Amino acid sequence: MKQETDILIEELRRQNPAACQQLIANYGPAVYQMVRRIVSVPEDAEEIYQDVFIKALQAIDRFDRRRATLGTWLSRIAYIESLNFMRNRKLAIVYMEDQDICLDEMPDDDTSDGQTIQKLEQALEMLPPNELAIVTMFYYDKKSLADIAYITGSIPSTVGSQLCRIRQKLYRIIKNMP
Amino acid sequence: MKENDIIRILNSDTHLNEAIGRREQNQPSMSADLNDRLMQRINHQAERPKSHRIWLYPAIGAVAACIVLLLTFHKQHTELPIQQPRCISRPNEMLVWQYEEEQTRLGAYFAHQQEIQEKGKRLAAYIQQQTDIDIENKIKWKQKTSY
Repeated sequence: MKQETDILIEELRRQNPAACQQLIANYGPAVYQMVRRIVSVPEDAEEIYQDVFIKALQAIDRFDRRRATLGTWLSRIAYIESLNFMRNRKLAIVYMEDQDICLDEMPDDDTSDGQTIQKLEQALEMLPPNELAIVTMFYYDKKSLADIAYITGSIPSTVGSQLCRIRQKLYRIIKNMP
Repeated sequence: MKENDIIRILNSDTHLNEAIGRREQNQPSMSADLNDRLMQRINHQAERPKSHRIWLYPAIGAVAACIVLLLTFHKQHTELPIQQPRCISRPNEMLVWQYEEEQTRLGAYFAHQQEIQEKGKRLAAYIQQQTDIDIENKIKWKQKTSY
């Protein structure tokens, strides 16, 4: 697999169209998912998706596989491009402070598991796009803190704190739900 | 709190895990022709000539130099007209007067020239400074968002 990726990178550096197609086929769905988490309008997301691959192909010479895998590198480009798009559209993105707080216990609600999950789904829609992207990368993509830190341009300990705060925020939101 | 503890606590939250899983599975998938459109765009980009940005910085420099030259020549042509010396009957007095007048006029002329040059230099320096700041900001932003 590692060797295949190396060959793919070499071919991409030689601007081989077949390699471009392979790159898109292999990593397209993950990149699209990342963009869609931050940019909700499908037409905008498709535009950014294309920009991500164009920029990746332009910057492929600078890709350093010692720092991250090709997929993580593409996710980083997708994350940055999507957030830049949101900033240019003057949409508010609220960044959290880095504080070492983590809730150890679950909310002491008497709601059932099903209800809690449903409420959490609703609460996720209220998160700013960057927070939603971070929490989804951890829980759904099962990415490590180091990979999330690389993608977001942060450090693992900060990502850990951010995740704790996002989780705390979600439970605070559902507590206030009727 | 250690990183491992944080990961353990976060992973123990099955509710959140489930909620995010459900949300992601409900997300619409990408258009069927999106990758075809992307490939068309990539091929189109490959055919296009390279960016003209390499001409940007020399162009800025040339514009700055033109402004300096224009200012210098414009000021030279709008100099004060040379005054004719008055005729005085006594030749010696006239010679002294002419010499003094010439010195004064030349002094004023050189001072004026120097002032113009100073202004030109200041303008060039200002343009250069603005360009440097602009380039520096661009570099900083690129470094921040480099892949």
